[in-house]
Amino acid sequence: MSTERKSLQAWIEGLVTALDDDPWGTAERLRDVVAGYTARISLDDDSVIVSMQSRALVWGPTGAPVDGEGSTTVAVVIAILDGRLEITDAVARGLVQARGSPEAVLRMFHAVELILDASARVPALRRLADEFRRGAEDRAPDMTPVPWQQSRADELALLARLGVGGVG
Amino acid sequence: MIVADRIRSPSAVDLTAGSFKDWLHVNIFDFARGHVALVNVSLHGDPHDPRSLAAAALLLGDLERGWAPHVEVLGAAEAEVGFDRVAVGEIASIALDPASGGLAVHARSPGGRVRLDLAAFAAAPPIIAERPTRFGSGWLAWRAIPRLNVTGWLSVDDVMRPGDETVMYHDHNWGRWHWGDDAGWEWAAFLAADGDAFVTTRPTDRNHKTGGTTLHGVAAGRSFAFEPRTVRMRLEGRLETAPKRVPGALAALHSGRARPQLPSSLLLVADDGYDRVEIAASLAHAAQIVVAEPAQPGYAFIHELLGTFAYRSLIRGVETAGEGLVAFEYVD
Repeated sequence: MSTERKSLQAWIEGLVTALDDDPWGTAERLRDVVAGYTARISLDDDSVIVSMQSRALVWGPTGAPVDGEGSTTVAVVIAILDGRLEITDAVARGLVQARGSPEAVLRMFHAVELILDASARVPALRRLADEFRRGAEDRAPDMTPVPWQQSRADELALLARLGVGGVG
Repeated sequence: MIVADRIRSPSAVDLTAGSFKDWLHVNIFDFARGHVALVNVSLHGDPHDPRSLAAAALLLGDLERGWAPHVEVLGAAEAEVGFDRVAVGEIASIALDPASGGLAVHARSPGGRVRLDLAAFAAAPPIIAERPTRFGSGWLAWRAIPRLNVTGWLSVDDVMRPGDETVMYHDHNWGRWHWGDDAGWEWAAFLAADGDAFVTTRPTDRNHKTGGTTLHGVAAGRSFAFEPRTVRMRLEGRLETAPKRVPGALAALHSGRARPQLPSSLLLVADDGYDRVEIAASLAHAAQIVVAEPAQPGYAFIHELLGTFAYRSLIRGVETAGEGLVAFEYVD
């Protein structure tokens, strides 16, 4: 059995391929959402540039221009999967970061939602999640999410000015 | 009389097997420590469909610290399902004992903080509501044993304690519906420290606007049942603390449900002109279990709350009063 760590590219390929098993058309909806956009996705120190042409994923060269960027860590993903961290808290604390135009960022989050929704109906996605979880145990990551270093005072002031409650 | 129960798996020619649901559920009440534990093993969808799911839930509730929830979801084929038992992964198994009407419960949390190895035997007559009730796109049927005596062992935080320091509530639910239907329920098991037990159920829509409330149980050794027209349940207040939510991936998908409006107190009065029960409960903490329909898009949100209650009852001329612990479910 190989003990080689699976790359981020392999994880993404696995997720997108598994969507074909969902008869509710998630694969097509994913393509509709991300078609024409290029994103840089980073997990810990692994990073890829990806777009979707037709049904196939296309991997771009390092440094290629992108429409949006998303990054997080294995520890944060595990904390979310375990129910120890709410996704809204992760975003508010900068543990999940997304950059780009509002359109590009919304499309990235929509793509994640499509995959999460399909995971309830596609056994292959659950197997991938289990594999990811086991792999993280082998690597013994620090499971305590590290708070984002950026000051929260400015953000809280902004949210207060916008009348958005429930934060802080 | 003990009437045997069993898992109600669909037949090979059941045209509604795709919406099959079945689960075994127990609550374990430790009055001295203020703990309520929940163990549930469940089956969702046609057993012959590879997309179908089996789930195990183990929740330890503490009146001071709230819930510690654990949920494991597997493919249905990975669960061990027998005529009288369901075992799901490493988390939990519940086996019925048709001969005695009792059951065996084994559960452990992934980190090993909680471990239960219990056998339980009915201390009250069963509640049998096997006539299907309209529920969402299909129907629901159930039966319960409101109070069971317990033997065996529980371990919490490496502290072993004998099971006979606790009592148990058990129910079995089955039917045909899809999670995400316009359906929900309100349910509670009130177990008094002195031996009485009360079970209330209200099947409803997702807005909790429709449906009548029933009350069953045993008080002063006398079993009773109140029909919906004779029961009024009022939910009041709002829990301030956000619920702990599992599984994490589905919770992330529904971030808008992170702070649901859940009641902080409950008042129930049942009176049919002959018997009467009055219950007031204070609810302290909530956990949210997000359940998914395996064969089509759809979700439901099962909120588990725990708290304390006080009651008075007059059943066939005998008055009782007391206090105890309540496990309350609010589902939509």
